[in-house]
Amino acid sequence: MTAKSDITQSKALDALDEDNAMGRLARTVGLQVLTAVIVLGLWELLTATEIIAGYLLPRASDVLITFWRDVVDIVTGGRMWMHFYTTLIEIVLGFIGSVIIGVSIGAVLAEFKPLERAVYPYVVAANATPRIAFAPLIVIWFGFDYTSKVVMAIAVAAFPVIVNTIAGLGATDRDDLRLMRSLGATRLQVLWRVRLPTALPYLFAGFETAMLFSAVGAVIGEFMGGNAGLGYVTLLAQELFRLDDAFSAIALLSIQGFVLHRLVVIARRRLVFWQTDSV
Amino acid sequence: MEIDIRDLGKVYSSSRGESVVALDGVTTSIAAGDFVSLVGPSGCGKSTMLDIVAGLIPRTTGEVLFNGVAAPNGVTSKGVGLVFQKPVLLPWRTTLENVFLPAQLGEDPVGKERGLELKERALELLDLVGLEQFSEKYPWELSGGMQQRVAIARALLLEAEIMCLDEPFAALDEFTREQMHEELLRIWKQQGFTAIFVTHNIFEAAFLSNRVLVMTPRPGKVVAEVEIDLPRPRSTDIIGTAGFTDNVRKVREAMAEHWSV
Repeated sequence: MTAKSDITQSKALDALDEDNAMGRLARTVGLQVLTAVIVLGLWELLTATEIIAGYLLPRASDVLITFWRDVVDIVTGGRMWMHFYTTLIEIVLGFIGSVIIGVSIGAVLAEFKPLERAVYPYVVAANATPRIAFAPLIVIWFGFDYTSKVVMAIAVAAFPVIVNTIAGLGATDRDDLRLMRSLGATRLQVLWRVRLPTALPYLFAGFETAMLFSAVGAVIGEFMGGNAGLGYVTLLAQELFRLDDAFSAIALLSIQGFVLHRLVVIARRRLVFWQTDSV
Repeated sequence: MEIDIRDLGKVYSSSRGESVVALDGVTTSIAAGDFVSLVGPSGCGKSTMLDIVAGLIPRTTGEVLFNGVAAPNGVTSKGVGLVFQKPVLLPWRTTLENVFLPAQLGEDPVGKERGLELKERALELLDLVGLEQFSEKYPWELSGGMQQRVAIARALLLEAEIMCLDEPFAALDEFTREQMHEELLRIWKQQGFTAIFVTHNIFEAAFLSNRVLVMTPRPGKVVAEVEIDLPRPRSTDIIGTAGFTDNVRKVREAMAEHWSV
């Protein structure tokens, strides 16, 4: 059968692709490392020669030394671990809260069209409002501890989830609906068997953004007050003029954000296996 | 299953209050196990007629009888299988799961025992359409022709006695389409369903059918019925024979007599 030979051929092509891919990957990683070396080298050159003054930009080597000290402190469970952990929990709770709240609101709006029409403009308007403007109010309502940070994170991160949930539940193919109707599917069966799986890629696009936004919200929350977290460390470093401390904390935030976002991407690839992408 | 179509009509009313007659007084009857094609240019109501028979859309006038029993208006039935122009397979389901889908839907989905029986039947049907080795593959791993075979197997799962096919091979390349024609005739013979096949391809209609209903647009109606007198079983070898060409000409002449652009 022709179909069988098609499959064999495509397998052979896949194997060929894999060989190429490995070589390409090695080269890409090499170039990426080179980029880091060049940037850090230039940075070191400009600061070591005092072309850029030390009070504006610390030496790259100093930042690396401080970063290493902080990493050791985190691994050995020192004070830095407490800050690292605090921010991590805030981001994760903010993300989970955004997913629960965002999917719920999005699903309700998608299911009850009149409600969506009534409310959607305000959702868009709220989304366009800089959420940081609510920071003082959130402090009044929720105080200076964890809670206000998580609330800030949710305030920032829930919107992409809401918008994507509505889009995803509305994205069902007309032909799919026609098929389901021809097979006598109930409304619940259509939702469960077709609309939810169809929405999944959209939901994950929302989740990915939500994870990054949750990190933004958590750091804003820490800037509002309190005494823990990597955002707080940056703020403290600024007051003490310890710029290397600030850079190190920012690097740690960047790593947290990267890893957490990656976890969502990995989950998406597992669950939405039928859609390939380049991310 | 025998199908009687009496004075079937469909009127759409547009938002501006104008009404469009999509289908006007079609009367015909299709014997059990027959293979009938509806041919005609775009807008002649052939898909509308098929959708009404399948219960996908309600009719405005007339009635449809299955084995002498009037079918409810605009209600789909498990006895009628549907194949669309696109395969419409769910990409998160394997080939086997896609074929099994009809068993999981409806007001009373099948019980455990019947479910196991139908799993068996799904595998048998994949065997029938030549895809037994692809049961665990996903639709996006299959070619267009293979996907359409899966769609046919799915339509057969609940032992449909009527099969409505709406230009099922229109999106396939010429070579695959010819193969699919032979495949479909083999499956039809083996399963014994009554087939209604919509197409705008006169060759396709002549090759597959016992009878071709020629339809014309504005308003959509059946203007001629052409008996195809070609022996069965048919293979692609008959294409180009004098008998085949004769039948194609009969359909074309019936069309030309009633319609021009």
